[in-house]
Amino acid sequence: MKTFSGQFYPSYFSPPSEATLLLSDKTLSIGFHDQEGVPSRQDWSIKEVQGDFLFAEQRSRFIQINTQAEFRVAGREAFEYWEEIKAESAKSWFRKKRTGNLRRTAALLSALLVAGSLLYFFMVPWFAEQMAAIVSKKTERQLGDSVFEAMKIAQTEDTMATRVLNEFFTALAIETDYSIRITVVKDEMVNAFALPGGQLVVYTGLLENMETYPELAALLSHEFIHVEKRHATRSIFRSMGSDLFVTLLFGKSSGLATLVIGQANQLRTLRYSRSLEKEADLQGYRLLRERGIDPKGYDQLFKHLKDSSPGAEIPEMISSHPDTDNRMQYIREAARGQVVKEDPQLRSIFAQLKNN
Amino acid sequence: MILTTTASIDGRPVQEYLGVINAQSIIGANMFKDIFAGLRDLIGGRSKTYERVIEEAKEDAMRELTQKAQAMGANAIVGIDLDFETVGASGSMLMVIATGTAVRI
Repeated sequence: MKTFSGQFYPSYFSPPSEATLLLSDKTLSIGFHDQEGVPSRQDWSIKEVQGDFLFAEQRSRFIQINTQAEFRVAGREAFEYWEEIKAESAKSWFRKKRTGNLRRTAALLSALLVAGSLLYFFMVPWFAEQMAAIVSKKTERQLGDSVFEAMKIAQTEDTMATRVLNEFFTALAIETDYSIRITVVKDEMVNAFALPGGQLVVYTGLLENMETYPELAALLSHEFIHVEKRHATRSIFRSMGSDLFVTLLFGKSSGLATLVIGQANQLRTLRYSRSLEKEADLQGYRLLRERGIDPKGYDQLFKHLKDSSPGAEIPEMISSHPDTDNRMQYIREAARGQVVKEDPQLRSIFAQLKNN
Repeated sequence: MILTTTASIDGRPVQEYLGVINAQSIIGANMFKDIFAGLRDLIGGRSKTYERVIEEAKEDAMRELTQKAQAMGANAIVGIDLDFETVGASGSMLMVIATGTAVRI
């Protein structure tokens, strides 16, 4: 933006008046006094102006194409600046001065992006896994127990079922360094979960639906894998790590950006959670297979889960668990050709649960 | 047209004071610029993205101020003062206020 003082000719024949000129990349404004001496202003768009340099007069001249109004200013400077503006506006948008070092910026950005994604997708998870591995079994157990104690206050335990389920788990004879303690809670919810360090919690709502012992075996083996593979501990570190990373990088940016990135991060955490669930399903199933227990147990278990929330299946992408149909599918595939044999001991323990 | 931050112009006495004028321009750095500026904040150095936004807002305010003076028949603006302020919920928008006195010299 530059300003000049010169003469304004409203038309070819009218006498000039002293006037001011503002040259900017958007408009050309002229301030002048009209014939009655009233101050006034004209704004010309750059497209409708012709500029040249009058060599004889040594003046720069700008003509409004439609009205033939003219502005003249002494010296070359105005004309030269005008040429600059014209050249700038003639360039396509991506070559404009303000995006000058476009190539360098783009290179820098993509380098940052690559480094950022490497960090986010590989380094942060790797580091989180390392951190989770350091956590001792004792710490895990303390963590799980404290969560359990906090929950216990609001819930009533089904002592008989608790005893039966612990007995059932012992009969499965699964080798582990964790001491698995199962608690049955009186609640209509069709659910069960594992806490770090070996606490398994099962709701009576889920047990009531069970008809055969392989279902219970499937449930316990699934939850046991969560404990054995330290899923809870690992996801705590994973989400802590990526949250920290995102906060460090985008913490100070505007609300909308934080929201979008936060949601994307959330989806990633859910995907990790789904991969852990799948691991628990497949590895849990392997325990069943080794013991010759019917894989239909898993099928039935998933059916109960599905029936408990009829028509309310949420899309897999935003769910913490894989789609129930998918779970049935991959278990069926894994179970192909399995030999099933009855386990009378497990059957009789399960019968105790049902007879009560 | 002379634009100056001083109260008078050397050798050219003010003949007529036409009044105080001001112009403002409020401009938002967009979400992506915010992210890149956030990166700058992390690694240090000059944030050209924000500098450009400030420059743009200043240009707009000055252009408007000059046009106002022109409409009043002024041929100079003296005592120009530029104020920069952040506005908006998270302070991510920038306001530039240009104030001056339109005069005839």
